[in-house]
Amino acid sequence: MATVAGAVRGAVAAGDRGRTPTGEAWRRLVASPVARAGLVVVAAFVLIAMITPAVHDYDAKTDANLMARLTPPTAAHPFGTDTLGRDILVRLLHATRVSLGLAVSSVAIAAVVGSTLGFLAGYLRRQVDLVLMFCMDILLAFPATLLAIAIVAMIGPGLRNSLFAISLVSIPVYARLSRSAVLALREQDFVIAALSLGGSGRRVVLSHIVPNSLPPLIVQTTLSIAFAILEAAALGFLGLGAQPPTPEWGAMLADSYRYFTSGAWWVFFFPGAAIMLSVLGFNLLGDALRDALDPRLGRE
Amino acid sequence: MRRYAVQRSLTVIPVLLGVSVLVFSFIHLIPGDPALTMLGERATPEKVAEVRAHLGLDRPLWQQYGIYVGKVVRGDLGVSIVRGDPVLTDLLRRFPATVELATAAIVLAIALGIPIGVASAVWRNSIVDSLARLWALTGVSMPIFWLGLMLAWFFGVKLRVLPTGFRLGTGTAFAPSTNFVILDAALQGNWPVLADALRHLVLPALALATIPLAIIARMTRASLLEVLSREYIRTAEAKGLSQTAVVLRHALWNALLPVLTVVGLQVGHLLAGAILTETIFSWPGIGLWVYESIEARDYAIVQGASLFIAAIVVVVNLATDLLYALVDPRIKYD
Repeated sequence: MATVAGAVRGAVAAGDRGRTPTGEAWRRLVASPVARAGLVVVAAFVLIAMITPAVHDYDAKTDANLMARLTPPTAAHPFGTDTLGRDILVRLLHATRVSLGLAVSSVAIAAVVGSTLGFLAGYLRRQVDLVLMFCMDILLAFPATLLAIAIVAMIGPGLRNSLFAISLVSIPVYARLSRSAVLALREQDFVIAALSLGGSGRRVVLSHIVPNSLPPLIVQTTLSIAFAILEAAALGFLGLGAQPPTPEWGAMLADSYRYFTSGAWWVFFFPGAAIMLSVLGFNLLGDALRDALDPRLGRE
Repeated sequence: MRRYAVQRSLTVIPVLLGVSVLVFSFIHLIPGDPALTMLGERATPEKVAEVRAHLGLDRPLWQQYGIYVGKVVRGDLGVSIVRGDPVLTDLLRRFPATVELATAAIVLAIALGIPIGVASAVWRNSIVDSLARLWALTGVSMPIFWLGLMLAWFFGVKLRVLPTGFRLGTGTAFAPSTNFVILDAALQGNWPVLADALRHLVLPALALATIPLAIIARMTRASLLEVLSREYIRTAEAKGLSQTAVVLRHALWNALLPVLTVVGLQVGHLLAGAILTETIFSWPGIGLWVYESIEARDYAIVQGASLFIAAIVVVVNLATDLLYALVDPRIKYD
């Protein structure tokens, strides 16, 4: 954790130096305890995801110890063992990379595709706008979780298909956000000025409109990752995501949840707690970012 | 109002058509030959050809879609590939269980979420507010299948006070007339069955209510704070009204309008969340059915249920918008 605190302090110092909008936003962000809590949780999970595979070898295919099935938490197995006698803590740590990686990469795809579509719709307007936004309305007519489940049920279970489904259901929100940002920005004086100075449409979009619509997109990305972790876990829980024996939080719950009647609470408690804690971290951070990136709140 | 109602209602038609195109395309998302995938490796070529012909997979796409929409309009959602039953019949038979669960969840979410949101707004920045906000944020971060498992484990296994699955105890003999067990039991005056059904409903409803409850509480807080900063509230306060009167009589009703929209939007989340909740609690609604059908590769059921749920969501959103326009005369269609 020392590294996290150090990184945060370093960045704060960097924010102090220049009075740039980014620096201001960062100062507002770390001033709030909610944001600091979110940052610490998110940083901790990201660190676990990055470090675990480097410092610990794990082969899910050979991991089994039937002599130690369903052992409650002890010193040797702090989170207990599952139905195959596998150490839950070890699998949880390795699952972090899978679960978080799935969520982050699907949101990255959705953010790029969705905002590009939205910028196009808002900039070109007319038929392009109509058609694109109609497609988004169709996607939004489905509850996101249902659409993701149905798509993976059709194309087949697995991580890559989950990635596709979660990206697809996350696209509409970006398209809508970036489109409304373009529509609002194109009426602003500085955009009109850039256009009347002879700036080409493409240049104005890329150098004025896109950078200025980033704040809401950044906030949305944080919140989308929280949502994507939940979606990924739900798919894994239904047996549609990562396939056994790959460790993934939702799949770990699915492996052994039926044993809850025997009182083996640790098999589902820890994977679920990891899901909730990471989602909470991203939600806290997203909420705090929204406040920090809103310049209208100003300095009080 | 009438103009708005007509125009808003008409927007539903293209959306439903688009939804049907998407659901229709599901079958073509199946990699390889859908008929072969459905029947498995050991299917005879004759059987595969029969299923292909039955699904119309040998025709051009636009014809396939036309046939699909034609059937849907006549209430034909296809037949279960595994059991051969019409999808719509099974769907309607199982739907009441889901409606019962979702209704209990949304009632719970409203009954707890609005008071929590009001308390949070009225005592802004107090300890009540902080706790309520933290709780709401935890609620929206909750994997509901995990919460359901924890509830089932704690109340069902550890304390042994509540059942952890099904709608009625195995010893309870009851022949419901409509499949709305609670409604039927109440109408028939069968109190032991009613009590048993309610006991079975508590945990799944609690799990399913978590996220809507948190969202409603947050929305109520934000909306009430916004209304409380308006001029007419200052006037009401200046008249010397008590804070209770200002909040309850002047602010709350206006603040609840956006909450109404949020409640409408929750219906989709409830129906999707039912897949997870029903799986945990063996609740025999459409959610559990979809889960079982995915495992059995019964694509027709997944397709039919998706279309059904999406259509409900579209219609509920329409109803919410119309209701909103009815209670708020400022809404105009542009």
